[in-house]
Amino acid sequence: MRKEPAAADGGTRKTKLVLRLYVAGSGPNSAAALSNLRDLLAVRSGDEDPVEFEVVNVLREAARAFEDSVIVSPTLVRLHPLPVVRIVGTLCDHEAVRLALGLPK
Amino acid sequence: MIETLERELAESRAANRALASGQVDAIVDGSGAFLLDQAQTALQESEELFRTIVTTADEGIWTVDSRMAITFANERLASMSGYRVEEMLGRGADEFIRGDARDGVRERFSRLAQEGGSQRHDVPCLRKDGTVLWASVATSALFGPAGGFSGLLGMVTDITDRRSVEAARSRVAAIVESSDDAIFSKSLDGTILTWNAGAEALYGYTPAEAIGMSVVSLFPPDKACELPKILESIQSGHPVRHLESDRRRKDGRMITISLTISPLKGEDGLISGASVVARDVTERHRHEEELRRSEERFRAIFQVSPANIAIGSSSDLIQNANDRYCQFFGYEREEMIGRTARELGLWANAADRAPMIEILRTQGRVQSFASSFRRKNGEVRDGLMTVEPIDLGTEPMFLFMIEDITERKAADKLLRESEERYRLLFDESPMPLWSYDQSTLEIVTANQAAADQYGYTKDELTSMTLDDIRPASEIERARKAIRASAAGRQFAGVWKHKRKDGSLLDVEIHLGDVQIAGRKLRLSMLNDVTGKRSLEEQLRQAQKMEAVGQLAGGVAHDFNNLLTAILGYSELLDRRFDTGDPARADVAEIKRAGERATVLTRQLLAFSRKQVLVPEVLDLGETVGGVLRLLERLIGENITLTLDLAPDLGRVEADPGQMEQVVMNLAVNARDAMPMGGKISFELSNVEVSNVELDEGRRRDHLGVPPGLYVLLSVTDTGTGMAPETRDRIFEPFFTTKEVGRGTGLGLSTVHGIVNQSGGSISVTSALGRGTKFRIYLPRVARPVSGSHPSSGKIAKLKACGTILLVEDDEQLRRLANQVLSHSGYDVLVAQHAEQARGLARTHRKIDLLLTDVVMPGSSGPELALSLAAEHPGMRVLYMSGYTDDAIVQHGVLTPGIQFLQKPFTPNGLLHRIRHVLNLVL
Repeated sequence: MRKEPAAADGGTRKTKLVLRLYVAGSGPNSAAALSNLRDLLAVRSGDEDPVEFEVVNVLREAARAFEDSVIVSPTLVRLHPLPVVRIVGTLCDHEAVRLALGLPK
Repeated sequence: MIETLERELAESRAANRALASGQVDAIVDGSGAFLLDQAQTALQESEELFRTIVTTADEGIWTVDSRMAITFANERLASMSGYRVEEMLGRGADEFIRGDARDGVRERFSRLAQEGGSQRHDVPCLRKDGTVLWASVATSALFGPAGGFSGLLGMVTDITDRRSVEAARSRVAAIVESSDDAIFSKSLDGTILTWNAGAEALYGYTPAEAIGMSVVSLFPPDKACELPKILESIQSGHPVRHLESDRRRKDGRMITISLTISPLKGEDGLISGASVVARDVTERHRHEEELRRSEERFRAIFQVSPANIAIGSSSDLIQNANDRYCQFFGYEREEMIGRTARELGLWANAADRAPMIEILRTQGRVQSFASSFRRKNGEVRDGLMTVEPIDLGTEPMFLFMIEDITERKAADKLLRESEERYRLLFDESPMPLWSYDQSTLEIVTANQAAADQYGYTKDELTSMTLDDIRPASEIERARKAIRASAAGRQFAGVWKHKRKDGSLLDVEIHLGDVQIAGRKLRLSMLNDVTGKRSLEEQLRQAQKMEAVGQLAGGVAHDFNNLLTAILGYSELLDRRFDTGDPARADVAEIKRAGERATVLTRQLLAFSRKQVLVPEVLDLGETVGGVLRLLERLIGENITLTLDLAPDLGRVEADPGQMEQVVMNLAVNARDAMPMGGKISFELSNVEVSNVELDEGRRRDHLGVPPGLYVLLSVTDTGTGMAPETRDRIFEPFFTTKEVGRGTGLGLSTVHGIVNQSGGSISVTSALGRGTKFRIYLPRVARPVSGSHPSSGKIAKLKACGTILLVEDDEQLRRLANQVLSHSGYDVLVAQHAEQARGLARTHRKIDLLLTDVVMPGSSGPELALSLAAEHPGMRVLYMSGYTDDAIVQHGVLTPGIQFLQKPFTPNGLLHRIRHVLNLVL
C-alpha cells in the first residue's frame, strides 16, 4: 500500500528529520531493521525535532529504491537534513545508527 | 567531491559488511529486487502466516479487480453469505448488494478507484437464501506496482444482530419521544438530562429550556420537601412508584400528576441518575371525585328505592340489600347480608331456584320470573324476580329485584272469576245474544244459543257481519235502521234473519249499547219468534174459524128451527091434498127447497165442526158416491173425479157425516195440489193386513197399519206432490202450505182425527212432481147396514098412544111438534119453558115421555129432566137440539145413553124417534 509521500523538501521546519526505510517485504533483516528503528525513535523525548518516517518495500517498489541509489535492503535513508545518509543492515548497533543519523544520545 | 566519494565508499563498505554479516534481505538493481535465499524463506513463511490469518480471520475478506469482479473471498465471507467461495469468484461484487444500495456502493467504489484511500460503510448485502446481511465493510483501494488502480480489498463484519439492537434502541427512543406521558431523565443532583414531547406538553418547558435545568423548578414550594426523599430513594436503588403529587407548570398552573421514578445505571453499573415518567391525573382525580359522589348518590337511591333490590354474588351470597328488600322478607339488613337465600329459606318453593339459575346461566339475565317467597315470619308472598348482571369490578355480581305481586295476583284472581262469571252469563244464556260493531257491523262476540239459532259455529259468526245474516233484500233497510237508531236500550222490532241453511227466521231484537275497549258495540238479544209468529197467525186463523163456527152454529140453530117448521108444515100440508091434486107438486117444491137448505146447513155445521158424531154401520161406497156427486159441481171443470168400487165391498162403522167430511177434505186438498187441473181417483177395496206381508210394495203401503180386515179408501191425485219434509207434517194441526186465508190448516188433521176416532189408519205416499196418494183403512164390520133414515109417507100408519110433555121455547116449532104429535094420537102437554113444564108435571101424574129442547131460557133441558125424574120414574127423555156443544153433546160427541134428535127434523123423523124411544127396553 502506498502512503502519502513525506514532505521530502523539508519545507515545514528546519530541524525536521525525514527518514525512509527500504525493506524487502517481511524478510527477517528488514523486519529487524524496522523494529530497531522504531525502538530508536521511541526513546526520543517529546521536545526533540519531529520525524517523518516512511517504509518502502523494494519487492513492490524496486524502482524507487533504484532512484534513491539503494542497492540492498534493508537500507535506512536520511533524506533530511542533508546530506543524505544511508545505513545498510538491521540497525542493531543503536549507538552507531544514532551517531549516523545525528540524533542526540 | 572527495567528501562525497568518501561517503559513498563508506556506504559501500557498510553495505558489504551488512551483506557479509547476513543483514541484507534483498538486492536491488535496475530490473527489480532480488531476494536473498534466507529472505526468500522468511518471506514464504510470512506469506503462509498471512494466508492463515486471512483464511481464519473472523472477518470476511475479499478482493476485486478493477472491473469489480471478485478475485478472492475467504471462508468466513462464504459462511456469512451462504455461498461457497468458488461460487463467488469471478462474479461482480454488486451482485451481492441489496438492490436499493447498489448505486451507492458503485459510486463509492469508483471514488476509491480515483482517489485511493479507504472507507467504512454499513451495507445491506444479500445472502444466498435472500435474507439481508447487514455488513460493515472497510474498503481500501489497491494499486499496482506501476501505481495504477488494480482493485479493492474489503473486510466485512456481520453487524446484522447489532443493527437489530440499534433498531430496537431507536424504536425505544421514538416511543419515548412520541409518548403522551412525560418521560425525562435527571442526574443524581436533579439536573434534567433528557426531555420528551410529553414532558413539554405536561410541564410547558421546551427541551431546550428543560435540559440542564434543575427539577426543583417543577416543584411548588409546599412540595419541595419531596425532592430529597425521592433522590435518596433513587440513590439507594429503590424506584418510586405511582407517587401522586402536585407540580407547577412553566405557566404557573398547578397540576396533579402520578410519578414513577426509576434509578438509571451508567455503563459502569453505578446509579447515575433517574428516569421519570409523569402523567397528568388532574382529570382523573376530578372524575374519581365525581364518581365517588355519584356512588354516594346511587347508594342513597339504592337504599331508599321503592323497589326491592339486593346485590348478590354468583355464589348466592347476599352482598347488600335495600330497605324495601329487607322489609319484603321481614329481616333486618344485618340478618341478610353475608348469608345465602338458601340459608335464609327465601324460596318458598325450593324447586323454583334451579330453573331460575338455568335461565340466568343461558340468557345472562332473568326477567319477571314468577315464584313465591317466604318471609321471616313464614308468610309466603308472590313475586316476580328480575336478575341483572352488574359489573362492580370484582367477581360477577347480580342485581336481584322482586316485585311483590301478591295483592295484584289476588285482585287478578277476583277479576278473572268475575270475568268468568259474566262470560258464562253471556255464553250460557239461553237467549241468543251477540254484539256487533256499530260502525263496521262486524259481529264481535256471539253466544252458543245464537250459534245454535243460526246454525253457524261461534267462530263463524264472529267472522261475519250483520249483512251476512240478512236476506239480501233487507240489507239496505236494516243498515238504514241501524244508522237512524238512537242510542240506549231499545226494541228494534222483528226482522228477517237468514240461517246457515238459507231458511229464514223472524227475530225479535232488543238492543243495548256497550262500549268495550273504546269500541262502540251493540248488544243484541235475538229472540226467534218464527214459531210464535206462525202460532199467532194460526191462532188468529183458528179464532176466526171459531168465530165463524160460532156464527154458523148460531145461524144454523135458528135455521134448523125454521127448516123444521118449513119441512114439518109442508109435510102436513101435503097430507091434506089428495093424490093427483096439482097443489101437491107445489108443496113438493117447498119440501125440496127445505131439504136443500138442510144440506147446506149441515155443510155449514161440518165446516165449523159443529156436527154431532153418530157412528153407524154403513156402506162407504154410498157415502163416497154421494159426496162425489156434490163435489163434481163444486170442484172445477178441469178436474176429473173417478170412483172405482170393489164389487163385494165390506161395511164399516163410522159417522156418515164425518166420512163425507173426510172425502170432501181429501178432494179439496187434491184439487189445491192441481192448479192446472188433473185427475182425482177414488178407489174402494177390501184389504187384509197381515203380520207376515211378503210383498215389499204392499208392506210399504200398509206400514203402521195393525193386522186385520179393512176397507181401503185410496185417494190419488196427479198434482204437484210433496217434499218429504212437508209430507211428514201434513197431519199436524195448523200445518198448511196454503196461503193464509185459503186453508185452515185443519183439513188433513181433521181427517186424521176422524179416521183414528173411527178405529182406522191413514197413510200418505208422495213425491215432488209425482202426485200424492192417501190410504184410509177402516175396520170391516160384519153387521148389516143400519136402517135408512125415516122417510116420509109412513107416519100415518104409526098410530100411537101415551102422554108427552113437550118443552120448546121456539113457538113455531112448539106448535108444529104439538100438531104432529097430537095428530098422531099422543096426549101432548105443551110448555114454553122449564118452569111451565114443572107446573104441568105436577098436575099430570102420568107422563111417558119428556120431549125437550136442550138450550132454553131458565133451566136447561137436562136440568128439567133431572128435576122431574124423581116424581116420574118411568118417564123417557128425548132431547132436541140444533147445537153440537151443549149439556148433552160435548165437542160434537153425544153423551152415551142419551136420546137425541137433531134439528132440523121432519114430522116423520120425530114420530119415528119417539116411537123408538118409547119402545126401548130399559
